[in-house]
Amino acid sequence: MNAVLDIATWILLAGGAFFSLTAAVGVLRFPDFYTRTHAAGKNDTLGVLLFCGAMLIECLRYDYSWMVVARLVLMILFMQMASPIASHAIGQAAWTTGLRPWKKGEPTR
Amino acid sequence: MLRHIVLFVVLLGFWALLSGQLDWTDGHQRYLMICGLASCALATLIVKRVGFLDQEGPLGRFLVGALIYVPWLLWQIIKSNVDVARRIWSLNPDIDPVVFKASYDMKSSLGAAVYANSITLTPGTLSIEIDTQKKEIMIHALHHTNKDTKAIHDRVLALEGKQ
Repeated sequence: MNAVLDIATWILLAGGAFFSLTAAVGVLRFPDFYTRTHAAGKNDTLGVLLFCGAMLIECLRYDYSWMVVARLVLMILFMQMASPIASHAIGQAAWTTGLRPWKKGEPTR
Repeated sequence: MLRHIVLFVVLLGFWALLSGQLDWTDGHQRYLMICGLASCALATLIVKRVGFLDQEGPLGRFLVGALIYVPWLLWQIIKSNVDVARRIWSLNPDIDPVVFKASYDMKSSLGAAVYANSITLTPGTLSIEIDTQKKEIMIHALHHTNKDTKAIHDRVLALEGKQ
């Protein structure tokens, strides 16, 4: 049982690290503002979700106070709500100020 | 009025959860609890003055529907992440962005907000502007094959229910 929990935690941690790294690479590689928002807004969400999942497993396993568990769950909920709202706010700000999205075939900026 | 009482109780519970100091006999903790009570009351009062809660649709139904909707959305989030990650790591990223408009039929502003957020969380799409008058959402998609938002639309509409 312990080995299973260990492996599950490691998979979640590695997955979280992978998606967070992917988000960073995506911000560097994508051609313009909007596509970069896709990379930053989405992959971070799953990254944080996986990290919190790993911590949740460890907290339950080592009998941390239920308050810590509750806070972790709240953190997951807030990140899931905050991330798309932030992406939307940034995207809307760019759109209303007239930033034109990059089209395929144009040189990258 | 009922909604404001519910909001007050929820805020109190939330505050207690984050604070964790609930020992009435301890002077300092008692002070903190009174402060929490006061700030929850103040927040409820402000929300009441703004009149924000009365404009929303039926909230109870939303919470029940969320039990089905959230797991489905989680699955969409995972798919979305894999999709974007694949594009990021490919040597020659396959992106062909388009901006398009999609109309929506949600009645409440909460429904529209859930729809816009879900669009952002699902594969390759990002909501960039909502026109609440014309009931249209401007969407930026990473690839023109990501233009299908009907599945989300129908699910959020079912979540909102008939009013």
